[in-house]
Amino acid sequence: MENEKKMITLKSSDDVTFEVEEAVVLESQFLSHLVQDCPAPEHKIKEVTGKILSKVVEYCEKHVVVVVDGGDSSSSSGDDLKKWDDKFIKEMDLSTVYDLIAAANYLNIQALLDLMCQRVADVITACKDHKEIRETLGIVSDYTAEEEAEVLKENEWAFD
Amino acid sequence: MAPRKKTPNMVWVGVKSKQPAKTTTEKKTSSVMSLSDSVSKLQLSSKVNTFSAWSLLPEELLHIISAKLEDCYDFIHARSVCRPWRSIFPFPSSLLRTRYSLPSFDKFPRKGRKGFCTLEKFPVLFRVRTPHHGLPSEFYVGGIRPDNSEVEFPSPVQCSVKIPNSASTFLNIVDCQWRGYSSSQRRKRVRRAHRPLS
Repeated sequence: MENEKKMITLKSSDDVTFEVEEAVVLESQFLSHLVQDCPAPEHKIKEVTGKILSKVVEYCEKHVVVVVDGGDSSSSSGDDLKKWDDKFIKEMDLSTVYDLIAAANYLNIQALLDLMCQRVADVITACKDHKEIRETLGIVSDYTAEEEAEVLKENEWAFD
Repeated sequence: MAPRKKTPNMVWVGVKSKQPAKTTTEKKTSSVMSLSDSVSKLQLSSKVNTFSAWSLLPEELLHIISAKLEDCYDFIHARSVCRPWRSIFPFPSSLLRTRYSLPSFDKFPRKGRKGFCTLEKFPVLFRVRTPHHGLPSEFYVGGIRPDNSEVEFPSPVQCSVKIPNSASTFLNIVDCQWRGYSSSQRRKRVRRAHRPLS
C-alpha cells in the first residue's frame, strides 16, 4: 500500500490543468493505464475540454475510495453519495450531459457513464411521447413518410 | 485489462464555439447528419449542435440507456424517435404477450360496481369478475398484436382465468373497451358481453 499521495496533473484540450491525487485518476480505467504506461507528471487529454474535465474530476474526487492510515477503505456513505449524484446531474444541462457521456465513455469511468445514462433515461421517461423526446434532445426524425406512419401506428396502439 | 476500445462508429459531432452552453440555441433544422459524414470525427469537445448528435450515440451507450428504462411505453416512445434508436430500443416484450399475470382483484382501485375493476394501460381494457375474491389470478388474453389492428375477438369475449389450486376456467368478459387502435371508432367501441360463467 502506498501511503504517500502522488499528484498527477491532467491537462484538458484547451489547456486547463487539474492537479489531482493519483487515486482520483485511478477511477478512470483509461487514465489508470495511461499513468502506468507513461509515468510523466502531466497528461494531456486532448479529447476533453476544461469545462467537462472539471466535472469529471469533481465526480471522481467525490467517488474516490479514500485509503486512510491503517489500510481501512472508506468512501462517502452510500446515501450521501447518492444525494450528491442526484444534485450533480440535476444541475446539468443536456449539452453537458452529452459531453460527459462522451468523456466518461472515452475515459472509461463506468459509474459516471451509468449515472449520465440514467439522466438520459429519466429525460425519456419524463417525456409524454416521442415527439417530446425529439424536441427535448433536438433530434430530427430520419424516417421516411412511410416509416413515420408506421411509428405513429405503433404509438397509437400504445396510446396512453 | 486493456483500455476500452473506441467504438468504430463512435461519433461526436459539433462545432466548437466560445459560447457558453446555456446560450446555445437548438438548431433543429440543421441537425441531420448522415452517419458517413461524421464517422471520421471523434470530437468530444463539442458545444453547439451536440443536441442533434443524441441520435448518433454509439450503440453500446444506447444499450446502457435502454437498460435503464422500465415502463414499456417509454420503450415505444424511445424507439419512435429516429432510426438508430429504433434499432436499439426493443419493442417491449410485455406488450407482445398474450398472457398476463395480474394481482388479485381486491387490490385494484375499483370503478363503478363492486367486484369490477378497470385495467389501465392494457391493449384491451376489460372488466371481468373472478369467482373468488382475494386470490391472485392469471388471465389469458388472446389475439393481441400491435401489427394486427384488424383483430376481432369472438363474441362473447372470453378469457381464461387460472385460480390457484383449481383448474383453469373460462370467463366471459362483462365489458370490453377497445382502445389504442388507429381508428377512433374502434377505440370507442364498447362491447357488452355476458356475465362471467359460474
